[in-house]
This record gives sequence, structure tokens and C-alpha cells, in this order.
Amino acid sequence: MEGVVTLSEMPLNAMGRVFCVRSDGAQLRRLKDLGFTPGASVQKLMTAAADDPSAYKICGCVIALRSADASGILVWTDVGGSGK
Amino acid sequence: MILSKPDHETYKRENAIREKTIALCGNPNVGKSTLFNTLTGLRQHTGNWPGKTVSAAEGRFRLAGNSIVLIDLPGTYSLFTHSPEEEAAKDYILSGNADAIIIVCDATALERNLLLVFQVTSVCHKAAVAVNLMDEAERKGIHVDLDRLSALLHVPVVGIAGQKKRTLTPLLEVMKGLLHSEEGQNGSVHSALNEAEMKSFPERAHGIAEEVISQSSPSPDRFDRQLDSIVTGRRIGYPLMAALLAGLLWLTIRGTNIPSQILSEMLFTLGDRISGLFLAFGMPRVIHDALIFGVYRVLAWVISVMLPPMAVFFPLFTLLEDVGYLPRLAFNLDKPFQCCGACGKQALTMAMGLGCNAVGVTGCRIIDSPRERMLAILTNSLMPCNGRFPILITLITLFIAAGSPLLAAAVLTLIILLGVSVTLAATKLLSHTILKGESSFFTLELPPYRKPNIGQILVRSLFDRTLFVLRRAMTVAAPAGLLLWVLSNVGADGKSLLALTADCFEPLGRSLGMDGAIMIAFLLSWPANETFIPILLMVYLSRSTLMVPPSSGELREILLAHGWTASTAVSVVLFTMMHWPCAATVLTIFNETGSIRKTAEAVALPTVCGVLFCCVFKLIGSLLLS
Repeated sequence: MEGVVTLSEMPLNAMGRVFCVRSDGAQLRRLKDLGFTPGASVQKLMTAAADDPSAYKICGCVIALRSADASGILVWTDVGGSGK
Repeated sequence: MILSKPDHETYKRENAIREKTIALCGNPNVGKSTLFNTLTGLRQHTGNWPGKTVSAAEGRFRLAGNSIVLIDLPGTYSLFTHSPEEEAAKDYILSGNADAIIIVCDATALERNLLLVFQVTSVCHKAAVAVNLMDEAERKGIHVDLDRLSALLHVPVVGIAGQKKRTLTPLLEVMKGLLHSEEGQNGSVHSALNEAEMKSFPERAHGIAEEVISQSSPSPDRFDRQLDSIVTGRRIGYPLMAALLAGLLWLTIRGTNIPSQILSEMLFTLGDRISGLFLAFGMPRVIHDALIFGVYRVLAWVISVMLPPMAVFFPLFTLLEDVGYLPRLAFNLDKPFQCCGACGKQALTMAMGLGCNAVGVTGCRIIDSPRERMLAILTNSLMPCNGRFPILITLITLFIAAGSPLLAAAVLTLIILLGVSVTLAATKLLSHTILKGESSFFTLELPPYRKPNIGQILVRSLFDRTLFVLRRAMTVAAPAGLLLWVLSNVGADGKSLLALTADCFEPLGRSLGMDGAIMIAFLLSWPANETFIPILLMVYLSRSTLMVPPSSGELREILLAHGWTASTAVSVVLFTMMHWPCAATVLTIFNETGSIRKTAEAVALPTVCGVLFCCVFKLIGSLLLS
């Protein structure tokens, strides 16, 4: 089943595509610079103790985001999906 | 911008005189600084974590017989900037001051790097791309088609391994080509780029990456992920951090005992010889005493006691840095810091503070939010620097964990963990009082683990640290020693100035579980923490006979003879951990904050903590005894 969830809700090791980034200003700018743009492929790699922050593979790099900030990013999860 | 013929001649003539400048730009952590070091031979401090370079560095190297200025810019993710350091990089790129710009990329993480490549090549016509870390890519089975990439980007592209000079030849050729090319350069970002064009960048980057990157192994990141699952694992992460710290400290303690003894014996013999020489030359007794008992004694102590721990700690720490462990530290510790109103990057600045607090304070620039940056600056001195290590190690091994380096390392680890707890508590308190605010937006890049060049690190670190200690000993410890000797040999009523001052501080010292001599030793070691013990000995033994670093047994005797007990040692350890920052750190704090008020707060905070802890400890002690 495919659906749209927030980045923080993504299960571990799941892959997905960025649907939209609900931020603005400097925060949006920074996320875009790091590769969080609609259509970009993203994978949740790991989570620190206490569930915060989590690390995601985006644009060939590994970026850690706090769950509060990650909940502003919506992703289209891809069950059993392939891709880079 | 195409110059007309007459102007062109002037341009060429003028440029022939002026030194050409090449700037290195790129995402954080792609190896710009390593490349800079290799080309210029300068020793900029590098490390495998993003944001390491917080200010531009400048150096020179030779290209085709000419001297070229090389600028290493702080890493930036895009020209539409975020932090002051990135702003500086952007401003430089757009200023036109660089005759050529090399955009450095990481071969193992190329796609995102391309975003900046697009931006820079849009506004700068004398640019080329250097795909770095090709050796790491090869190790992981990642292959980059450089020719195809060059065709797609419309700029020259070369592949290099920044630390290996022999791989840089193609880059040097490209640089020559850029400098001799006739085109003008630069324009403003807004004239060259529009929103529509920028929107297409991510897709273009992805397309190009798909075309030029091929992987011979199905999962090149497998090793990194496996290592991360251990390092950041829920159950293993924290114990591993504590274990690494303990291990680092144990190696430092273990590795310094014998070298310290050897050094102090060497210097003792040397001191004897010098003394004999001076007297043979008929040097007046006073000057001889001032130079030998004053200057030389402190110098010898500082070198023999400070050099070994630094020579062990720094290479080990640099190794951890280069491997790429530090961002994982920030990752693991972000949550506790977030709860205190700060962020995980503060843990990195604290780790830097363990080496040197002044370096830790400068390193706070990696924290984007001004409020969180200030939190890190104000609390940095709660981490004991390498100058304080010898004090802590000596007192622990003499009074608390005699004879067992393992136990001493355990105690020192606990003490540093106490420092971490106090830092968290102080950060939380500040967040609720003078630095009120909410946690800001936080991103952290976890770079791929890189194979460190162990031999190079050890040699370079050892060399750097030896120079540093010697230089500091000459410029700070030697004059301090002279001043102290004067103070301890000038006085009234049979008591030296030093002893009189110690008496003045006696009540204050006693109330904190210490004594007057210890208090003024703390005060007078403000220029350099490592002079604390020599100063203390000078106060205790004013007008004594020649005595270069005593053995630990002798030292213990002296302290006991002056009323020391194990609890005195604990009080001194506590106050060593938490007292005003040293002179260099205070200066650095003022430079970074530009505010006398903030500097005063930075001086007051650890001092108040120290006083508090000493008082509480004394109280507990007296309650237990009664």
C-alpha cells in the first residue's frame, strides 16, 4: 500500500519519495539545499536513543533531522520500492 | 564580460604583476582543507565532520613557476546562504576577487554536491570541478565517469584524492588553463539565476548522477551502515561513548607516566649543567637563582608534565575526528541537549574543549543559532582542557587512585562525565534565564566513515603538539616563573610577597576546603593552567633549594606536609574542573562575542559552579565527620 506520511512517521529502512516540504523561510531553504525537494528519493536509516533525531539518506548523503522538523516533510512511501 | 583590445592589454599587464588567486569552494566536509594543506604545505586543522572550517584560510603554492594565492572557503550548501560562515563564502565567490574557482565535490556523495556546482558555474565563468575522495570511491566500488560529467556540466572536471599529491597533476593543469583563459567572470546571483532555473536543479542533479555514477557493489554504504548501527545503536551508543572516553583517558594516563619521568630527568640533568655553567662564568647569585629556580624550574615542569599527555591525547582525538566519529557523537547526544535548550553540536564543541578551550570556543561557530552558540561558548570551560589534565591526573594518582592507572582512568572519566552533567545543567539554567529561547531548527550531516592516514596523523600531531607546548612554555611559563621567583624572594618581615598574598587568601581558601596557597596558585595560573602545580610548589617552598619536578612520592610528601588530605585533593580537583577560563580562552570569548558582558558571564559561570561544588563538598564532609 502506498500513502503519504510525515518523514518522522516513516518506518525504519523504508524508502519513499518526498511529496512536499511544509516549511518556509530559512528552514525551507536549508532543507532544499540538503536535497529535500519534491520527487527526491529518501530512505530512513536510523534513529538515536529516545527516538530523536533520525538519519535519512537523501541525494546521496546522510542527514539527521529532529522528529519535530521531520514532521514538516511529507513523503510518498513506496512499499518494497527500488531506486537509489 | 569581453574586454576590448586596448583594455585587454592593460588588463594583462596589470594581472601579470598581481598574484593570481584561486578559491576552493564546495559543500562542507568534501576535503577542501585537506586539498588546501597538500597544495600549500600549511597545516590547517582538518577533520571528517561538516563545518570544520569556520573561517577562510589563505596560503600560497607554485604553479608553472608562479606563486598563486589559494583560499580555502568554509563549506557551503548553496549560495543562498544560511550562516555567517556560508555568507562569507558566498560573498567571496561573488566578489570577483578569485581568478578561478575550484568546486570540490565528494565522489562518494556526488548528487547533492552538484546543486552547488550548478549555482557556482552559472555565475562564475572561470570554474572547474574537482571530484575528491576518488580513492574512497574506489574502495567502495563507486565509479564516476569524469569525461561524461564534464560534458554534461560544460566545465572541466578532474578526479583527485586530496591528500595524495601525485593525483593532483590534472587539477594543476586545469588551474593553469583557467588562469590563462581570456573570459571575464562573475555576476550577481540574482541576475544569473531565476527561480524556474533553480527549481530544475535537483532533477538535473539526479539525472546527471544517474548517468555518470556506477556502482560495482550493490551496497557501497553497507560498512558505514553496519558501523553506524553499533555507534548510534540504542543500547550500545551511550556505553560506547563512555568507553571511548575512558579508553582515551586511560591511554593518556598510561602513555604519559614514563615519558614524563624521562623528560623530567633529562631536564633535571640539563638544569644542573646550566646551573654549573652559569656559576662557573661568575654569574651573580641573584640572577642565577632567578633564572634557574624561577624560569627554568617552571619551564622544565611545564614541558615534562604537559607534553606527554598532549602528545598522546591529540593524535588519538584527531584519529577519531578523521574517521568521522564526531558527528555521530552529536547525533547521539542531540536529544539531551535539546532538552536543555541547545543542540547536539554543542557536544562537538565540548570535545574540542577537551583539547583546548580556546579552540572549543572558536569551534562554536559550527552552531547556527546565535542563542545556542552563546550557550556553548559560556559553558565550554566546564570541560577540562589538556592544560588541566596534568593537574587532574597528578592529584588523582597521588591521592585518590594511587598505583592503578586503570582506576585513575575510571575516576578521571567520572570526573569528566560530571563536567558533562554540569554543562547540561548550566545550559538548561541559562536557557531559562539569561538566554531564554526555544530549540532552533537543527540539521546534521553524517559523512561517510573515512580511512584515516594513521601514520601521517601521528607524526603531524606529535610535531604540532611539541611545537605548541614549547612555544607556550617559552612565552607564558618562563616569564611567569620569573615573576613568581621575584614575588617569592621579595618581601617584608621575613615573609615573601607571595607568602603574604597566600595568607590573605587563606580564609577564602579554607572556606572552600583548600588553602590560601592553592587559591593564589589558581589565580596566578590564569595565563596558563598548566603552571598551577609549579606555582603551588613555589608558594609552599619559597626560598627553597633547587628542585626540578619532584617525583610523585616527593610531591605527595610536600603536599601532606602542608596540610593536604584526600579531601583537599578532591576540592582542588573540583575547582580545577570548574573555575574561570584561562587568559587565551577569555580573549577568544571576547573576540567571538564582541561583548564584555558576555565575557564576564563566561568568567563567572564556571567560577560560581566551582565555588558551589566546593562548598557543598565541604559541607558533606563536615556532616559525615560529625
